[in-house]
Amino acid sequence: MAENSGRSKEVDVQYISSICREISENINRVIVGKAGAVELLLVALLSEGHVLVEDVPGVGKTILARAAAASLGCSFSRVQCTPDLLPSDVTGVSVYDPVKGEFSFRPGPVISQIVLADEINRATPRTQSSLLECMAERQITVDGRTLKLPRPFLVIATQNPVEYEGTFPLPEAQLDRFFLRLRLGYPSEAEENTILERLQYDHPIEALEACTDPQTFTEMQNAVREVFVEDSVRDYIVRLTAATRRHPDVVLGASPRGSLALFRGGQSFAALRGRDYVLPDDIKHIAVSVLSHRLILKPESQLRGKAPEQVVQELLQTTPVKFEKLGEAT
Amino acid sequence: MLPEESVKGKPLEQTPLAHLAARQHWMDRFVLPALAVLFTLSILLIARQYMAILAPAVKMPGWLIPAGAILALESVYIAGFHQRLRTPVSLRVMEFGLMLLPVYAGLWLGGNRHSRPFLSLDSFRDPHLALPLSLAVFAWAFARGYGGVFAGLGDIARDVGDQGAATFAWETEAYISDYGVSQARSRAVDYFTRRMLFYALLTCLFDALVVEAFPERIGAAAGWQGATSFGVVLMLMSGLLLQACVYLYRLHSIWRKVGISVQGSISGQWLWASLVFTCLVIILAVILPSGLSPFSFTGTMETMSRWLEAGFRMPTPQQGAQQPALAPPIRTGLPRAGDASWVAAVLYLALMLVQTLSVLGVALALIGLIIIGFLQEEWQRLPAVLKLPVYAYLWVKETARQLLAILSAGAAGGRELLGRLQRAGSRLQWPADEERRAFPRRPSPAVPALYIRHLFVLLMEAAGEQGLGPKADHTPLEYADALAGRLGTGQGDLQEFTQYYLKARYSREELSQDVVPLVDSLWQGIMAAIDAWRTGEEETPDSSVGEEEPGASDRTSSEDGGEVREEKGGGQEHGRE
Repeated sequence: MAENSGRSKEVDVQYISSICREISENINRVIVGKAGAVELLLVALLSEGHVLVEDVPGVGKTILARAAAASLGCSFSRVQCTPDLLPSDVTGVSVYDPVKGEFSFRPGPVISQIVLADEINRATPRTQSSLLECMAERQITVDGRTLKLPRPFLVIATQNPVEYEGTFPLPEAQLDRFFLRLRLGYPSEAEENTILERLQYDHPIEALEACTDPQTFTEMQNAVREVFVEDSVRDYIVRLTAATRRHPDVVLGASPRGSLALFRGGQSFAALRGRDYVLPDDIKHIAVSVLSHRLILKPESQLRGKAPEQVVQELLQTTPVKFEKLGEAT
Repeated sequence: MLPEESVKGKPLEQTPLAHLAARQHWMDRFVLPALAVLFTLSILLIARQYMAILAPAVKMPGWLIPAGAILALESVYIAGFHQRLRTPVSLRVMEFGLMLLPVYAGLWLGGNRHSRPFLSLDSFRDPHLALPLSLAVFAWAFARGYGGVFAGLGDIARDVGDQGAATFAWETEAYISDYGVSQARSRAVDYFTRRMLFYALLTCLFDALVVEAFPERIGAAAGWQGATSFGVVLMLMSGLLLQACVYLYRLHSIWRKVGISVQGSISGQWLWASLVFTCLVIILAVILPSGLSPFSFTGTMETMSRWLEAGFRMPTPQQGAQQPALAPPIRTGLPRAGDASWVAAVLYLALMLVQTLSVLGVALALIGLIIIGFLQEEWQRLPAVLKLPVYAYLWVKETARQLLAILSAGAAGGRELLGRLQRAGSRLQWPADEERRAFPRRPSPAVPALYIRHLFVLLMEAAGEQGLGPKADHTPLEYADALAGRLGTGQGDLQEFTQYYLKARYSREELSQDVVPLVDSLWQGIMAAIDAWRTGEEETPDSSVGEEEPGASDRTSSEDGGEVREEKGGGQEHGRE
């Protein structure tokens, strides 16, 4: 664990920034050339949001989740989603102990601080919703007993957008529960060379050390809420989200949960940059990742090859950041 | 007519009048016959008008029109009676003779006899009597056709069978089912559409004919234009309403047949909506100037032919120049009979076709609006021909939408141009106003945050006057970067100043008074850079510092289309002025 993860330190934006820089460097040791994605992952983690990593196989989705867990010093578990996965396989089950003559609860993988739900779209909707309920409520109820999930509690779900056979695509209501969606993309040739070089003998993830501890990270999450969001920035967030509902290519725009995610994400991003106030640039930086998976495009727009990311980009270009005029500032 | 087996226990054959009176629906009893009579009346009126031009020697008495209306009314009502009771042909001929006899007598007594004996065969060969009488016969026979259709219109079971009437697509069924089982299996509404379109087209052709052949007679006939236009308006209005009402009546019949409970006011609402739409179209056409309205066909044709003539007029040969042998003669006014070239005739015909198609298109669009308003998405189930009005409506709607979008974009462009002109006007005076260059409207630096924000706004305003304002999607930080790239100098100052501004505007932090002198100096440096950029005193900025190459400034401004516009040449000119 890094030395600056001591609990006695005052958690302010500078501290958050430095810790996050360490975490980012740590993760970048195993994930090559994805600094932007790592930064967004940290934004989601600081915002107590869950992340959906969507990309083709083999680009490092699982490694990214494992590296994040290792860097945060959190407990980590992995759920490999398959069609026969049951909700009890995720949440845990009560088993009769013949020696004690009573039922004892065996916790499932979801009772961890960082849960990797690998290929979540292969699980049945029933199992998906049980997992997503844990994400929303941060607690589970088994046999009438309610268990609070540990803090920080973060779910990193992955899915492959190419394969559809034998999958159960997440409905929009459940997609909306993810704070942001990441797409890693293929590395460049130079980055791929670096990967091969690094992985020649051992995987560097085995050597990763934690940069902080769960309690400190929870304090960091609390501190992020204190980052100031000026009225005009808040107004910009609302106008941006509202614009998604009016876009001609969109059937269903972003919900108020989207606005909230932009708000929290802006705070976290500002803290990552060592600022205690949010700029419109912070909102623009995270908007595509935060909003795009919350939009449903019209079928004709999809047939034209339009992507939600394009729609959000268009909205960023057409939704003005209001500048002050003479008289307003004074 | 709605199927009625008996009236008050008596067989229908014994109580024909009671049968007529016992029709259940007010549309069947009053509205449809009235509209059919109105339509017939309009055709009669138009025919009389054209006959007055084509055969001016024939006297057309004024009472012929109301007489024709009475004949039409009788014919419509009695048609159902004949059809239902299967009256013999002899009885029908007798009815025809009885109805026409008063008209003949009136014409004979009114001076159209020309000394021919009453009911003699000679009198029927006399055009002064035969032509007006033929109009009356036409009205009677024309209305009989409508009456015959009305008689079978409500008998859904006979058309489609009970099984067919129990299908789920009531509206579609009502629209496409046959109105009567006969060899000429016309569609219920299609029959009325075809009739109206045919007579509208015929009217246009006659109008073109009389305008081309007898313009002097049109000019001599007092009130001819007004009466013709009234006839056309009446024809279109009654024709459109008739189609709407027939459709509603079909629906009503199906609802009755299958026992569907329908809100009582739907018929009234339907009629009201149809009336409003029809009136709107008519009003729009009527309020147009007489030379442009589709209902003032003659005047419109005249106007368009003049325009066309002006467009095709050959240049006047100069004096002494040799006149081309085949140069067309230049003439003004309406084409006169005998001297119109074939080019003018073809163009005239083409214009007539265009105008006819326009009128038909509007009528079709109106029908399409009614259909789509009632059927919603179900209109796609209609057969191909019946979709035509809906397509026409959608086309007109799309055209209107695009037209409005173009007008809106034009208005926005005009406003922007006006703003630029105003800014350019104020820029011309700037160099003379030295005070403004040094902290114009400068606030007190007592509150540093407000002071810095104010300076940033002034900076934006000054840059904006040089065409370096922010783009619509710029954040302050992005704008500062873009501006720094444009100015080429003072980049460090600008970035530092922007950081102060961001903190002043977006942060809760109270800035100390110590920053004010620093910010002042930064601001002055930036303003000096803007001033230098404007006056062109500075060297062209190095491309490595700016956002874009300085040489590409003009090109960039046209490409991005944003507010950060680079018109350095223009700025220099203003500065020199």
